[in-house]
Amino acid sequence: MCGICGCDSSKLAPVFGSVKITKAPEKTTLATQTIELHQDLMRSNHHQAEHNRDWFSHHNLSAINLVSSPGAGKTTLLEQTLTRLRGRRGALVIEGDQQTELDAARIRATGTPAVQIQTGQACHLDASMVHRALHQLPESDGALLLIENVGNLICPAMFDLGEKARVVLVSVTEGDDKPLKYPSIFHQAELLIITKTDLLPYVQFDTRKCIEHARQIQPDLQVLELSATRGEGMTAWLDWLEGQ
Amino acid sequence: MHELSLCRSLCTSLEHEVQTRQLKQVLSVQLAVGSLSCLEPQALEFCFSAMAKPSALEGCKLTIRRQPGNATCRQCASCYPLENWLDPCPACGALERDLQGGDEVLIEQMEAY
Repeated sequence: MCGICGCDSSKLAPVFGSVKITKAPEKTTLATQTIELHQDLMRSNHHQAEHNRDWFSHHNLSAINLVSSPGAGKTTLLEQTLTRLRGRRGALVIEGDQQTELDAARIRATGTPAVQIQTGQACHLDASMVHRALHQLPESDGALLLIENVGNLICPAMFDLGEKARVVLVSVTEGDDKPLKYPSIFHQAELLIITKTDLLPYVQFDTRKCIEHARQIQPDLQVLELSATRGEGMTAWLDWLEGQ
Repeated sequence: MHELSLCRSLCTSLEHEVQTRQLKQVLSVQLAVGSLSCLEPQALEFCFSAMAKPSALEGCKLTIRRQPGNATCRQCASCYPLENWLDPCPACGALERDLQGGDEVLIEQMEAY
């Protein structure tokens, strides 16, 4: 019996798939041994991320991993960034979404090569997905590689993609306490971008508090505030990218 | 639910050990999960039981040992264990710190025959 609501939890259906009823191992005469492993469970991702890093370094690509919750404005920021970068620096984009090619189509409309990764069940990009996407992009030495992660502030935190810098976006339509609620992703970021600042007059969002919260998690975090649709703050962002 | 991805890695690693060591049955496996990692032990346990196939892993017991992080205070240089991101330095109360660990996930040991 569930101690919270009194339901018979033993009769609840599994959330997905079928949970195998495990059987006791058969009796054996073989001796049981304890094997010390001390293996990093993330090692295959780390290994692939290092391989990606080598690739980026070999092709002089600056890879930037953009993370945020869904709807923070990553794709709009990319569209505006790529339009402004035209003629200044080559760029490539990897888009991550659970389904559809919609975002890659928006990026291609700016004239930038883009690969869409449809993650299906997965809620994040991992290093091997990025590696496979790299093989579908044209060779473009010296370019900026912008990776738009799946909209999610939890799962992408654990997966190194081999990127040079991780950028986290928070829009002013979200709570200014986001950094306190999702600390891991802020801890690993080099830059916080507060987006949609043109909406500040209409929402309750304390920019100063948001920055303060984020720096409690990551004291060295750089911060930019911008409105991609109005263009305010875009120059500082392009300058930051130029430095990567 | 990145626990599902990690469970796949866990099963792949264990199956690799089973093959290379020519084991018949894995009885238990112990993980050490850093308290600052983004892993939910219950979700991991659920995924693990859901992924158990009729194999050497079937019936394997998963034990998860939570491990606190380690931090060095930027203000007073004290080293202290860190359970939560917003816990201040116990010596001076500062929040600014450098992490020495706490987001790792290790397969510590397995029991098998």
